[in-house]
Amino acid sequence: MADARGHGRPAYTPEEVARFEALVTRYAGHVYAISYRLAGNEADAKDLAQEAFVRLWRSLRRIEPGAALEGWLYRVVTNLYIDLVRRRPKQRPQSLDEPIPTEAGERARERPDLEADVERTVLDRTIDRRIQDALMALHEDLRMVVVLSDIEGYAYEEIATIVDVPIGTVKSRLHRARRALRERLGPIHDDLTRR
Amino acid sequence: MSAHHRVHQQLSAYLDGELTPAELAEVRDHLAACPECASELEGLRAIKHLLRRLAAPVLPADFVPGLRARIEPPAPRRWVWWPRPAAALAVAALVLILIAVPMVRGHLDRLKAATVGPDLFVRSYVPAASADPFADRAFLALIHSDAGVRLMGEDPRRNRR
Ligand SMILES: [Zn+2]
Ligand SMILES: [Zn+2]
Repeated sequence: MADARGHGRPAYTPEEVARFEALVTRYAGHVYAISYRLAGNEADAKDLAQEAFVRLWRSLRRIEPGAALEGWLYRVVTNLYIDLVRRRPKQRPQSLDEPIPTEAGERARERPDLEADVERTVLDRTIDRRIQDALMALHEDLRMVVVLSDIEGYAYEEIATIVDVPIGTVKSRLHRARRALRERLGPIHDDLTRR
Repeated sequence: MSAHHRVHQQLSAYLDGELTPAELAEVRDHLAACPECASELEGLRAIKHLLRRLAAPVLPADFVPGLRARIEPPAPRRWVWWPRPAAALAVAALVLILIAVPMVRGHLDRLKAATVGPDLFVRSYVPAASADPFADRAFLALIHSDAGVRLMGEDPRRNRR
């Protein structure tokens, strides 16, 4: 693996390489999940998450064993994502005023037994997509806090560290994000819990 | 600010258990008396639960192989690519510029590390760097310049040309 000339990487020892691979095994799923919820598609999510691990690889020796690596990785991902958004101005989220297309008819056809097992199963693909669309409609600053809080379960203080804003900002962004999502997704939730 | 408005702003934090005892008491008192805030709270709770039920996206099968490929670029060929000396020279100049500035601090830190020994280095420098990787100039250089990356990523104690 490691060679003396080192194109693009330090000459790591086999132990260091093993440590890195263990970190990938441990965190790749979560890092990818966050990337996916931020970016909204597989290609960008994969790119963001892989790049975060490439950064980890390059900084491997500067990171203490037992450091808060998960938070570090998320922080890298959120910063990479912001970079991505800035490089692609056309992909900015739509404004909150634009209506979301409704797929009620389609949903009814695909999933007639929706209410029956609502608490036990994960959400079906169409609903997942609609939630993801609603997330994508948020400004990315709001999307990040709501993903870290409601999907990943981080406390405000941890989110503040990852996103690098004061706790009060986390609090107000989260409130705004949920209110916006409520406006878009209220009907889905009502469908799911009806009966 | 009225109690209603203040509480309304606190409802998300209330839901997350992120209020101080004093704020919590005010929110509870107000919720008992204000149907509008109570209904708003239910709406926010519904959204939180909906998001929590999202399935974790499945890690694509080619994720790890793709990562390996990014970490281990197919060996030395890339350095032979430059067909024209002028292009190679331009790249060399760019790389120099890109590394010169961020290198000063990061490199000095590492040179210091080489002299004070890795142990002290790890205890003094690394915690600061990992707590705030983006405040580290060397790390910033990694982020903002792909051209600089190759050199920056190398073991800083190795000879550099
Ligand atoms: Zn009220
Ligand atoms: Zn409000």
